[in-house]
Amino acid sequence: MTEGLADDMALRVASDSIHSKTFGDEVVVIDMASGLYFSLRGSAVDIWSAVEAGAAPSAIAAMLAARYDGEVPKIEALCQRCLLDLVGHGLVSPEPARSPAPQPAAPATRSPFVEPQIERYLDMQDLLLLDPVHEVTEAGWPHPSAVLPQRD
Amino acid sequence: MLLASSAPAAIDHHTALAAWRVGFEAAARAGEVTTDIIVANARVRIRIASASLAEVLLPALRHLVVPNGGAPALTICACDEAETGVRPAYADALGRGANDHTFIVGERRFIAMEDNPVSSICAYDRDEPIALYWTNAADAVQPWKRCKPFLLLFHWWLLACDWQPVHAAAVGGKIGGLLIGGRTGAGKSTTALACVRAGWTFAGDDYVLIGTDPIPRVEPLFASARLKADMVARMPNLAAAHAGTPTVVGREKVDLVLLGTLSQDAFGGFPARAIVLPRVRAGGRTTVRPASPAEAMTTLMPGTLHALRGGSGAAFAKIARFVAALPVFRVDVGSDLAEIPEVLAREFELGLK
Repeated sequence: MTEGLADDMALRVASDSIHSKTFGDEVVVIDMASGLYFSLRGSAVDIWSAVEAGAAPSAIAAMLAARYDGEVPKIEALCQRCLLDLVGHGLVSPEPARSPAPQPAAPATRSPFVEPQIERYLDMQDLLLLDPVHEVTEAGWPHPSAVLPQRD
Repeated sequence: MLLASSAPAAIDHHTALAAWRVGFEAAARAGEVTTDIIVANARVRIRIASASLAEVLLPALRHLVVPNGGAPALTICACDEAETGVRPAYADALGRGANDHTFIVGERRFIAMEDNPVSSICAYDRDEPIALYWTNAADAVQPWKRCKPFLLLFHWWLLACDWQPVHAAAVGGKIGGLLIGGRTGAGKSTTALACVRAGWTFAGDDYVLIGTDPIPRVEPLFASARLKADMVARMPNLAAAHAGTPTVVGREKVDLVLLGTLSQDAFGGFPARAIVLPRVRAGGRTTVRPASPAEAMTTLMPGTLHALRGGSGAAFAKIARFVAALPVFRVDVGSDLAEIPEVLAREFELGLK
């Protein structure tokens, strides 16, 4: 069970400004709204994949426990922490599940548990936030982006 | 700067862009410089309604020039206020913070305004397609902009296809080449120009085009490069290409426009064989070792996505496809410039001249 994230919630990638790509054992995630980008490694790769599929927190923890050899309580605790970190970084948001959340696929083989790792990069943030982006529709300008951070 | 309190006055894009276009056409009737170039295998027509602006914007594109004629896939209309009197409505838009660079990103239209008071504006309307460029005066176009003219316009235009400008250099031989990624000061330009000096084909420095359909490929975009000032002293044959001396992240750099210093046939594209990520290692030897695709991605992304606003999802996906298709290597760049192309030529099968 994932403390802080209700089990009847589905998780999803938080916004359209977030883009990701999996390269084998690593996922690169960028949030164009915040200017932050991330490298996810270890079991964080599985967790991100499950979030992209819209899985519930408990299903993600169960998937990791089934996929990896290790102490189940520890795996669940680290899964919780990783999900909360992803939520805290603004990459993932919980929302009420509208239909049964998908169950991540059962693994064919088990392997030793690798702790989820999230590395955050800040070097693009100042560059991106320096140049404001105004979102517009065909109705014309202006429609300042609702998600645009305010700065002093 | 509080963006929420600085909502700009409403501008209707259709009206604003149409009026800008009418102003340009009137100025062009008094005299225009028309130049066709090939970008990403497609004809682009550049119409500049001012001889002095043409002298500023065209040198970094002259290696791509072809005889005028045929229907262009894109037309760029450029003018400056000082010579033509044209002033787009966007130039007087209210509510922008001091020194802002403001990007207006829609589904079909893209507009960018640089600085406040505004120094340049570019706009792209995907429906025509037409690209508009305006600056207040030709002599106000900074050297770094002269070295990569219309970069944003090319990015917006190419969003709908496989090609993508990326912040990288590229050099190669007859059968293949290397995309060279690196942040400011990493040794990207040093590596590229050391190879060019050894006779390799030059696709570009700072920004080049990448594509993956049907195979990973690099094509040239600008005949320019940006070197650390001390490195120009070590490549004296490049000194005549000097276009300006900006300071980038605290380092004095020299902008170079290379056509003339290099012959026309020194420029070209090629299939990409690998992505290399240089890092200057003072006093050491040049060595090559494998690196991860994620390292390439996190190297290529910041400089590309920061500068090229609008369509970041599509740009990210195109860069990711390119990175996933190629091996990645870290290159520790030693002090001996001649050793750099020697080591890379040994490591990669590129069909060098």
